[in-house]
Amino acid sequence: MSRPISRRHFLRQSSCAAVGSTAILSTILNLRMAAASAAQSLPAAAAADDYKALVCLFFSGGQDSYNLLVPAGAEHAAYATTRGGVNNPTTNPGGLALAQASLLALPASAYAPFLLGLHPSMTGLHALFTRGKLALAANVGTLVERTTKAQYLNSTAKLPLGLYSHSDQQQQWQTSVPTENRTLGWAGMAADLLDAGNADRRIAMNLSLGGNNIWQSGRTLYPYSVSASASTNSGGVYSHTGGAVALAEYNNTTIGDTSRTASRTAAVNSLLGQQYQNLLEKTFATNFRDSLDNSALYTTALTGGAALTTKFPGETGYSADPAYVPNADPARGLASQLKMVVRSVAARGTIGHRRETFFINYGGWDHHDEVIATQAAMLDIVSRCLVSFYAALEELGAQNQVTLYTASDFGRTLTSNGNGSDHAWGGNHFVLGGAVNGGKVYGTYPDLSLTGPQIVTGRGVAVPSMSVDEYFVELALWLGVSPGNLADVLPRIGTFYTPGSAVPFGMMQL
Amino acid sequence: MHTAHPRAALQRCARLIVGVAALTLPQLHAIIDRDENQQSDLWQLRFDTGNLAAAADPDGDGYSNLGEALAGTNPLDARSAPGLKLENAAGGLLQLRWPSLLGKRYELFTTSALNTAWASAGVYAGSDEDQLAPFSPAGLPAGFFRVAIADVDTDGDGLADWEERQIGFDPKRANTDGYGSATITDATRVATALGLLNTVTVFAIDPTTAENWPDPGLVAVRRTGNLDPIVVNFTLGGTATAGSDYQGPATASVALGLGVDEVWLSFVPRTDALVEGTETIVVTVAKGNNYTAGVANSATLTVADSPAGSVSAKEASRFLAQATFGATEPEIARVQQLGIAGWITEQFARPPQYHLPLVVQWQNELAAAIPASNAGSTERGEVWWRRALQTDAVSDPLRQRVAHALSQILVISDRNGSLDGTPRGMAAYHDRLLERAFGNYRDLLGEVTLHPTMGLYLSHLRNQKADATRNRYPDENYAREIMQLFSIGLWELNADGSRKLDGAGQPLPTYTNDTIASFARVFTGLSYGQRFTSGTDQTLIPTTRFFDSYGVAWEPMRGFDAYHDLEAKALLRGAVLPARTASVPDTGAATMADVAAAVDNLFNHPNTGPFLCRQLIQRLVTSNPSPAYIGRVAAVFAANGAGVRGDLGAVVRAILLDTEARSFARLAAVDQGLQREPFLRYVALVRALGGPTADGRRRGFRGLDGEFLQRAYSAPSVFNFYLPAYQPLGPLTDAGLVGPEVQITNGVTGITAPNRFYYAAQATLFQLNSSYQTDTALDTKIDPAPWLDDATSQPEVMVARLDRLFAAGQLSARSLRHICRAVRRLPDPLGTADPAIRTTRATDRFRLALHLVLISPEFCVLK
Repeated sequence: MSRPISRRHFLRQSSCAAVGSTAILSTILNLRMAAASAAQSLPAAAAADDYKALVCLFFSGGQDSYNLLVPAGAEHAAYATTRGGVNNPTTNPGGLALAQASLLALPASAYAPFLLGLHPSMTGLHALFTRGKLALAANVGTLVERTTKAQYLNSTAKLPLGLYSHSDQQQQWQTSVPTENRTLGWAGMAADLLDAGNADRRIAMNLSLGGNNIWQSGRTLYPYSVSASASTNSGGVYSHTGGAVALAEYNNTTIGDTSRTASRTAAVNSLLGQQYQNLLEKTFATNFRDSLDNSALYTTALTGGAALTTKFPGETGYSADPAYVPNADPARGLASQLKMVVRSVAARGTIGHRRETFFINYGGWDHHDEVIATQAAMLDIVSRCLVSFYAALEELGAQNQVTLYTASDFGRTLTSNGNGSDHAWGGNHFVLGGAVNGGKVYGTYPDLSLTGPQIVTGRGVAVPSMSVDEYFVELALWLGVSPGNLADVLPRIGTFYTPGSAVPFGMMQL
Repeated sequence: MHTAHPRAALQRCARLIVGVAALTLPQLHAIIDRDENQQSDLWQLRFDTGNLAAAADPDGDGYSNLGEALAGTNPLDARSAPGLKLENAAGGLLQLRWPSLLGKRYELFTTSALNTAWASAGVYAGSDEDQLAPFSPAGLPAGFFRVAIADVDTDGDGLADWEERQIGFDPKRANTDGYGSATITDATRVATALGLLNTVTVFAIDPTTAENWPDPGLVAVRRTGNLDPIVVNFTLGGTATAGSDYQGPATASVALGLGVDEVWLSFVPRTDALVEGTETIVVTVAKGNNYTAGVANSATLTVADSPAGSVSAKEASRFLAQATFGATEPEIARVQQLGIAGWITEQFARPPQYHLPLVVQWQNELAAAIPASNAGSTERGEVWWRRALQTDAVSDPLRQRVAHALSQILVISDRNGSLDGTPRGMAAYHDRLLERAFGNYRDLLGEVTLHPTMGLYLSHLRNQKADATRNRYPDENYAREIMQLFSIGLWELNADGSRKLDGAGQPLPTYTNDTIASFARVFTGLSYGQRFTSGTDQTLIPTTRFFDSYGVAWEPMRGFDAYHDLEAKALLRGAVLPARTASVPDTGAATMADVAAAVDNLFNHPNTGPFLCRQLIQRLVTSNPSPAYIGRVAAVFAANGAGVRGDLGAVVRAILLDTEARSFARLAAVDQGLQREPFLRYVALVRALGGPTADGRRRGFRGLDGEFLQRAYSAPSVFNFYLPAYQPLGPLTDAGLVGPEVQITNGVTGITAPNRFYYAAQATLFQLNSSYQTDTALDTKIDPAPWLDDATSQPEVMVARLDRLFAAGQLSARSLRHICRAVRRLPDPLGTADPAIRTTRATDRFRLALHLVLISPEFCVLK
């Protein structure tokens, strides 16, 4: 939930209230707002439209991402052996390797050591890679410190808490802290710093399509959830709508003698305005109040956004195929969430934010079973949705102002458990946007033979070569976090990178 | 550098002037000044000044009455006055200090010489604390300072913010609480009120009390008319004796201050050994100054006698909110009759109301009537509701509630298509939880492990031993989750559920990835145990092959040694499973022996008791049980009194009878209770008020999950709808507490859930949402009829009854007041002679009150 409104009230009441502060005040009186010293000011807006948004697309469940980014040259042989051979539904149903010929090859310039290719379902994303709008990050994972195979095998490595556990690894991918059960996410911490630069701070700058999450939870700012409705049918035309929801028969502007709405509105305001001693009641009342306030503001603001002509999967007009049934497209759920992000971006002028974050949770990747078929279907959904997403941003001219990155609990074991794979560690990810130095694979893609220098346990677990901190740091800098504040946002960044020095990979146009 | 010397600067800056007239800030509102003395009438009432001359200074503090009226200070008290001081401050700074009042505005002016123009040096909003304005004396010319004080009217309603605060109005709303029409502003209301006489009435807003549950009874003393401070006299009558039967107000009068229109008299019942039946307390308005008594001039409270072991209605309602899907008035009476421990014992003796037989029956009925209906998961969900709502003499509400709690620990979910496709399998799984709810956890853990639905969900059904030639290894899914979620958890625990720490203060993992790999080998070789004879002959026969077709998910899995890893395996805490020999013919005996030993190994781990008990307490009683509470319950898990480990019935009894669950004093603890799952709030509503349907069935419930992010057996993953350790940011996290259920309350569900309750209260609980069931007479609705008499003539009693039923009488006095006032704002049923309109109005009152109770924090949090 978001708390900016109550905090704003607090500031208004407790500080010297900026109303009418004059030049004299600032020259002869050494008054400083206590809160102001904690916030980081954004650089003065150079352009009229200084806006940036960071989108986290979280693949919860742990994607088998060594089939997302795959060796496409000579190294394919070792990959195929480790994965139990190339999958064939009849002759080798337990094999988890993709056929070399099926891969969407990346150019040799993408990754110097050897050839790589994308999963065959990702045709749209492959095209964006070719256009330089998409970059990949190889073998990323949670790390307490740089870890070698030898350290892992002789148990001298400091390992993340709850390594291989869904809940713990999801949390650590959102906090960037693998050494404790932290409840503050790195986007939330960044937002706490950057929110001061937002012109209108009444609406939360952390918008979530995936409900409450740790990633967007800061000390003062919480995620604010909005909803996306897949495939709303209006006269046979399917489109994705959504936004904030309003409370029934509640209207702060309607005042009448005896109407139910007036009575209910007054009572709800009174009930929620009380001071509750019990902390659960207090939390409930605060959340309810924030939902009411944010919903009214956000609904109004959204109407200020430009209409989009780009069609998303699940919308009428997405496909020219007459057999296409919009509300049967399995991509419509994710598509509606991405469209909601774009609609918010379109309304940035009325929402009044210079910095925003968006969280989308796209789950169902815990493929202990049927990984080959299910992953192929799901990556097709991801690819098609992101193509529409990027096209819609281009339509708005905002493609350089929005960056999307992927996250997931962990990678999966390279070896098969029959027809699926199990929980592992490092995995492959991608970053999408006009501000990305695309067309490249960053980091170090491991040798996937079971004897490879990054591969541990008989199951084929990749020890990450890129820490999540290194993966996130350029995203944080791009969003506007200053080098001096990086350690607030990514508390363990100093283990892997010295803030202020040259960035680790050059993934982003900074 | 004498200029930096504080004393020198202090001397040069010592000329201070306070201006109390609106010298530079325009007066923003027309004050209410009925006596035309230029001073606010509300200010006069606030300080009880009467009509004073504007220029006089009766307290001799140097400020005229007019000046003090503008400053908001007391003209009859010299200590209350405007002022401006200069002081030393830290860091070599100086600071100005002046008294500041919320609702006023202060502008600081400075000048270097009095014959030059004053310049503004800042505007300050009032704060009710001294305003400090530090500044650096360096480079400051000798100067004078002046503060001008002015009123602010934020909402532009003609009443100054300071004035609105004195009478409890909202300075930011021109029509403070929506009373009156849009054109009647706060100022108009006040101006009108100041010319009226007061009428005083009394209402019992929380009328039932009991000797052994000292929740106070409340009587509201209300006045309409004026805003002036008055003292209302009353008399106390009735059969109860003040002092011995109850502790009432100290005096027979109560003050209503400026602008206050309601105060509450509180009556705390006292326990005595007398057998005296229910007694009464009658509060009657007596004569006094500046008011007359209205029609409702007396109110009656009851004090129930409480013999040892008896249970008050509120206490019983609270208990049932913990132990069942929600209180009903008959069940409250049953608890009062049997006592809490006796009620639990009776529940233990009731046989389970199983799900599977009813699912099969309804599936068959529907398939016969409408062959294309593809009956299945809808019927399964409907059976869940049927059992949850059952209130007849054989109903087993405690068992159903505990099984539901277990279903959120031993999670399977119909979001998995394979599971949604086997409604009988899922119903059979729930029947295991029902049967073992008061049984032994070892049995339950074993049955869950062998249940095909779990095998499908966590993919150990048809899990095979390793084939190194193909780099194929056993599936680790179930091995991991049975440890992490169903038995021991990630970290070594003490007996009270707290984590064990190593010398460096770090928690100790219970297992390693090697342990997982080892347990994964245990859970190989399991497949369906029973199958249909063929695709058309649904006669059940045992399976004979690992990959047999037509396996059914409602009979346990069996072992196939040919597919099982027979090598030796290390378990936890040093236990080792021996290498085994495959049975011939393959009965799966070796497989089953390994599985049983592994389940034993986990069941007997010291973590399992505290790990499980903590979560059961969280599901039933409180999100943040003390370590001692967990320890007491875990001790019962370890040994039930007869030396048996894992007795869930004894655990449930220990949880519900513990002092942290039962004591009245815990209600006041800031960390008591849990946020009720929105889904279970809805179940509680339907249980209490859902009328019967034409054919006894409940349809359309599937529409709920979008609004609540919740429905039975539809968790997004094996991690349930929320994590037991979820910490919502804010006061809970600040206090180091968790709030698991808060995880699914967000900006969307924070509104959609209340809206669902609105729809339920106004219209329909369950509406048909299916293409093959179209008879709207089968919708489930709330019947308002039993509530209409009270709604008509004594809405306070109706609200109190709703409070008792849903919130266990825990609605605060303020919440009761807000709800009662909202209800009384609606058109009065007695204001019309037309019986139809009267019923409509009474129904409206009931529906509004119900909705407000259902969205109140006191109902939504179970304390």
